[in-house]
Amino acid sequence: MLKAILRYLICLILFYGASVPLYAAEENPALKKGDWPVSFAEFVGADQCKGCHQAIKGHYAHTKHAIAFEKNPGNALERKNCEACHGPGSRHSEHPLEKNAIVNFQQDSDLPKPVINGQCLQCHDGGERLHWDNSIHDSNDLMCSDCHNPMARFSKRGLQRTSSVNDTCISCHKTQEAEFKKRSHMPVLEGKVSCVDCHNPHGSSSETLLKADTVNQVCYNCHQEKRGPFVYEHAPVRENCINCHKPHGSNHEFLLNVARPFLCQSCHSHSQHVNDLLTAEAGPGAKSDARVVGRSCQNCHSQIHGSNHPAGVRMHR
Amino acid sequence: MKTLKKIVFTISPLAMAVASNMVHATSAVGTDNHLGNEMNPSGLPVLCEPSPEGLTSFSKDSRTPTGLRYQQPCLKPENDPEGDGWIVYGTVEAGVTGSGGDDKNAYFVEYADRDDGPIITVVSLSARDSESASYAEFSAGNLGRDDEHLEAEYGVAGSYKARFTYNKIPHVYATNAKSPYQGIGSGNLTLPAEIPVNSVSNSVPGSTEGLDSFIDSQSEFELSVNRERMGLSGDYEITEGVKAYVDYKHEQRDGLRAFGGSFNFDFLGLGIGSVNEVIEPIDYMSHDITAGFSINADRYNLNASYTGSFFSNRIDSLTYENPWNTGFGGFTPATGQSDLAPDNQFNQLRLEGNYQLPSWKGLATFSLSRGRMEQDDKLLPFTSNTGVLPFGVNLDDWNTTAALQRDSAEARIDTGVEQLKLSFKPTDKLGMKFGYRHYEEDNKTSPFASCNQITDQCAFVFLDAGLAGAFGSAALFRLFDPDNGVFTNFHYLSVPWDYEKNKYTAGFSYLVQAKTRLGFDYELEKIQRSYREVDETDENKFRFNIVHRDGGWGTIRVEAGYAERRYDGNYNSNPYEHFYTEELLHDFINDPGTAPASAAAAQAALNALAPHTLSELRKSDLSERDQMTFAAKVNLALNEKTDLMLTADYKDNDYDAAYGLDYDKTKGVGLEISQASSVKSDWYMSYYFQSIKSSMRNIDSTEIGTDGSAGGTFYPFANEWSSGEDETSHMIGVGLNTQLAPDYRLGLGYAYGLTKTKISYAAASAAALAASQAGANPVGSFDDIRYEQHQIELNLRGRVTDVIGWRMFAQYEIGRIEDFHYEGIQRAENEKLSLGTDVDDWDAFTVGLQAQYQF
Repeated sequence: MLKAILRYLICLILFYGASVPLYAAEENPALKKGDWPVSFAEFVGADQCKGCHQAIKGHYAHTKHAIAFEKNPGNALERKNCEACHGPGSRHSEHPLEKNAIVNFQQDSDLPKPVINGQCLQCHDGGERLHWDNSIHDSNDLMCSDCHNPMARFSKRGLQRTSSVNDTCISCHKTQEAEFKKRSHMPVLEGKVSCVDCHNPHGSSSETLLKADTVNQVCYNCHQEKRGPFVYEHAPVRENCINCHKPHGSNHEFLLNVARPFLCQSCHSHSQHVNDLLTAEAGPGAKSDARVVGRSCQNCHSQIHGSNHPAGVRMHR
Repeated sequence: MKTLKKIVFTISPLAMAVASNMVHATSAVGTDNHLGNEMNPSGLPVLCEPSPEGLTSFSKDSRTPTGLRYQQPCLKPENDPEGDGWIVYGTVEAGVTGSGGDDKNAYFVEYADRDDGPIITVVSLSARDSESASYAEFSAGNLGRDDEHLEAEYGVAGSYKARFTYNKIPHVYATNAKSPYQGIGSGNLTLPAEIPVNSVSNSVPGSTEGLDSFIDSQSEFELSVNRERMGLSGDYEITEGVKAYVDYKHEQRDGLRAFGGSFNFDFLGLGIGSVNEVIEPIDYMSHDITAGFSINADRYNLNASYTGSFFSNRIDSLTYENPWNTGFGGFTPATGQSDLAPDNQFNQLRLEGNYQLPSWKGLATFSLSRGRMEQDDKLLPFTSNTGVLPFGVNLDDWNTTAALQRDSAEARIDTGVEQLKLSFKPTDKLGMKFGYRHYEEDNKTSPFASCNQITDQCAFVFLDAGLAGAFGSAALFRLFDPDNGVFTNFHYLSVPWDYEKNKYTAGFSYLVQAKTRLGFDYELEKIQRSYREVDETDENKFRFNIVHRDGGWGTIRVEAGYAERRYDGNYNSNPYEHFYTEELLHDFINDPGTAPASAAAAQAALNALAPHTLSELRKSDLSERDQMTFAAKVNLALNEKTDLMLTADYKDNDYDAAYGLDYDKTKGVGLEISQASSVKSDWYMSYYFQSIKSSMRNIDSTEIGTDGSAGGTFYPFANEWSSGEDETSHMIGVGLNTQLAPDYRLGLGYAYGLTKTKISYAAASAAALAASQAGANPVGSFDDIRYEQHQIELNLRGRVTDVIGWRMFAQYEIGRIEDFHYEGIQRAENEKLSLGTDVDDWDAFTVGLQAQYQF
């Protein structure tokens, strides 16, 4: 019983914490704490915003934000509609050209990142953004509005600033875009796979913003047949797919890091046939050798990801 | 009951503590988060007309905080938000497409269905209730084709949503495969009457030619795998701050893949083969589900989820008849049998959360997960063949599952994560972070011994005894039967590899100026692996980055890193003795039982064992490594309408390996310039260059002696060789999107890509060469692996009325592919059977004409 009470108390302390609220539900505290003009403004209501921002009105009306804020606000903050995100508008209304009189999410804003992102995190904290803090995008000072533009529907989902999440990602990640154009590649530019099928751009508990605990667990989302576990495992395969494969694109078939048989020979030098040097003459032709032609080593070691066959210790069957 | 009480007692304060915050947008769980197709990757109507006023009348050329120009929204009739009841708007586009030239080429149709005929290219419908927050959406593309997709969503904004998806993903590997086999697509490949089992051989004149001409008479078929995936997902806000979500996917995969079904190969240069390329049938089904809930409270966030993945393969094994006969007069297997991907499942529970600490704006984040991968497929016998091998082994004792140690796989790996991250911001300028992450895979699979329960022998019945049968060699059968004086050292016991990874991180960041941040991170990653060449690798990683954002001209992000990986203790090139019969031999020598006479011979065999591998070779995932990285991204606003982006990447992995992978280096630079010369017109140009280099070394073994060190009799320096890859890529893109006249809009794009990989090699002497390469020059290079593609795409959109329009589409591709693995490959040659999937260049096009209706 004592243990149970103790556990209960620990939970209470953990979940309630100290009595001083650091993050209110309805206002971004960083916004109120600062000395920029918007900090001293009052809420004026969306109608006043729409009075001047006619061009936006039509586009914004079809976004999920607009529908929720106008028709199904979940709390007082959402009822403020435009000002839920942009902060109180009285100062901006009175001094439309004054900088920082309202929260501006664009390049010319002088407001610090915690204030600007804090506006979004008023509602979007937690969930898939649980690991945002100090994630690679956060530590590179990316803001929500670097990827999203909630003022209109540019994409089918996610209020991206471009026509798709893939376009948004590759607008910065040029190396990956180039790799998707190589001979073997993930069909990202073809619209069949999206960056967010593998990565969570808002942060994750694992490396390179992966959506699962390991690289392999991400790969198994689509390649479940490689998951096994197998009776006979191939150690580097079990540990990390990218020991042999490039995740985005390669000039070799099957996204391989280097050409076979050299890929295999960079780790294997056992006796007999494994460590022979195979030359240009080993391709199809008079001196052809099965270790080069076609599927190379996998002509025989066809179950390279693991074998369930009793005679599969060398991944043949 | 006791457990239930505990759970309730623990969870109740948590539930009570849920405050009034909101949780929104569970958008990227699972796969199929975006649906499109190659002709229209975004899945949206192509070539929209930009809204002349943009988003705001006050500033049309607004930029992201990084400095990239925001797009202009499309002008649509629906932009009048006024109305009663349900406001419905959308676009439907349908017409015909046709392809020509080399339009069956695998690279042209790799991920796209380019068939001729009618097609519904785009459906995009949205509806919302003007009285409530209810909305409905439907979109689809390429309906009726192998790359079709559709999604439908209904919800009440701010409360719940439900989404249905359907997505087909083709993946074509080759369209020119041919094979003599019957039963393609099934688990049983048989030879036709014209090609009897074991009838073809170099030593049987005309037999190979007969096989070749028979294959030639067969029709070409496609090697491809088509995915068909259906999904249901949704989320529901139970109460403010508490949301439940679920994502379920059902996938069917069907198709054919090339697969190795060999029986022998010519590593001695004796003119024998039995190398066999067969066809793997793909008939997979999987169910994947993720469900959970998230809580967002004033001071903490909590996510709890379950992930389940259930895979089944409707074809458990692949049996293939053997056309080859080595002609040695020994045993030749009639069939081969491979065990295909086993049914398996993965279950995982995850709990993660963060909590705002009372001091220094601290945040504590934790993650816990426990998962299990498992499969218990029935095992096949050691071989599917019958007969007596030349050295007396009767395969009838080996072709039954009664010979196995166990009849199912009983394979299982448990996984787990424990992670804690702490971050503090003691001042507005200074940030600190600390973290610890533990990941482990615990392999619970009992080692499986390749030993026969009927004969009490161990053996490696590899390639269905094809090699051992051809040579009549018990040693090549890897027979281990000490009671009868037969000792072969082979890998008889499966290795339950697993590992655990501990990561310790610390970092600081400092805001030097209002928009200039310096960051420094340190990470120590310790990986402990069971049964590998090193017990533990430790990698220290240092990373420095600087970000400077400027409201006027752009942003610079630069990052440099250095890492050094070292292993603890010595690199043991043979940690596998326990899994080799060598270990049993020791046991036998210590206790020879009823065969004491064999003990001395066993000791002699032990003394004469060949080395496991080259002692100085270092496997690249374990070897000591120094790594340098550099990355830079610069976004410049050249003027109000013009953006310039420069990127650079560099990674240098230098391995401390006398043999094995020596280094790999990647560098890339990119440039992109884009301009929106007006609301109605924009263009871009881009160029990207990448270079990848790597090098490795090895020594060809002589099979003489027992010394595994470099320069010894087994691995003499005279047999040393090296190889290297030098790859360069050039990618160019140019595009224009403009309004030609009030009712005509043009989109024009050109993309060029060229990647060349040169693979060169050099040996100390011709002694390093494979037997098949006798007489070849030991210094040289392969023909470059080259992939070159020109792609021109044109879209012309015209408007007939406000709601009716048309779009003309044309895509022309020129592709050049060279790969020495496949160039000139023969289907039947020199005791090798292949599917003959030579790579071909292509010149092909797709054109289409569509009518658009917008409402």
